[in-house]
Amino acid sequence: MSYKNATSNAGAMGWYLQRITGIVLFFQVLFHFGVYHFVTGVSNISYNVAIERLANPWWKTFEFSFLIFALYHGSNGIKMIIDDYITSHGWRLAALTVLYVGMFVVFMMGTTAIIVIHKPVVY
Amino acid sequence: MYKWRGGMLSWILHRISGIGLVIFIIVHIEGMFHIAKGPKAFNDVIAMYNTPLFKVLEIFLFAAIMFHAVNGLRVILLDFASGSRYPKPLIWSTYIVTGVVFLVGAYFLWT
Repeated sequence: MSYKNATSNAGAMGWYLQRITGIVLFFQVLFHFGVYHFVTGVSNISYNVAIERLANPWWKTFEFSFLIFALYHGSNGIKMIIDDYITSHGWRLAALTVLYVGMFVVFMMGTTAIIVIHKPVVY
Repeated sequence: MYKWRGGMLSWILHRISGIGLVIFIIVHIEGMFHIAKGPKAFNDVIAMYNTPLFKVLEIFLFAAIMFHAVNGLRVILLDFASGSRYPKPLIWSTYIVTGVVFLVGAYFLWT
């Protein structure tokens, strides 16, 4: 029935996890975007506001789990596209290497921003 | 035939919005990483986000998120729930829900 499952060699596990992380992300992204863009507003965000928010363990946990789910879901989605369009084994391996190395760097940057303990600066 | 074409458009838009969101998240995390470099570096990034160009990009981002989220939910209903019994209504509901939420949200983002 589902033409969505057209990916040639995406494992069944990746297919399921894409949907499971998708459900989680549905709520996470609406909450994250809603708070920052509609409630707080981008113009009201500053270093102090961000530091204060990340000092709260609930916010830290939320943002970190959002980071993990979003990066996994994004990487898995790009992997499916690579599998669909790149048929050469060597080029596919090269593309996947760039994808995973790149995503790991992004993950480390996000983790640094969210987890590293910052001192609130009042000025 | 129509069903296939309708689903095909959603499928293409899902991929395009997905690629766009991956590019966005890379740029977004790089931007937020400036928090590790201190107040000046972080506030400079926020100042850039408040320029008119980024305001327009924010509305495009909102459109991509809404479509990808709502259409993704449709795919899940199709695969796991009894959505496969109502493929056509699910497709047009996706566009209607996305369109209405987008128009209302875009109004608040812009004003």
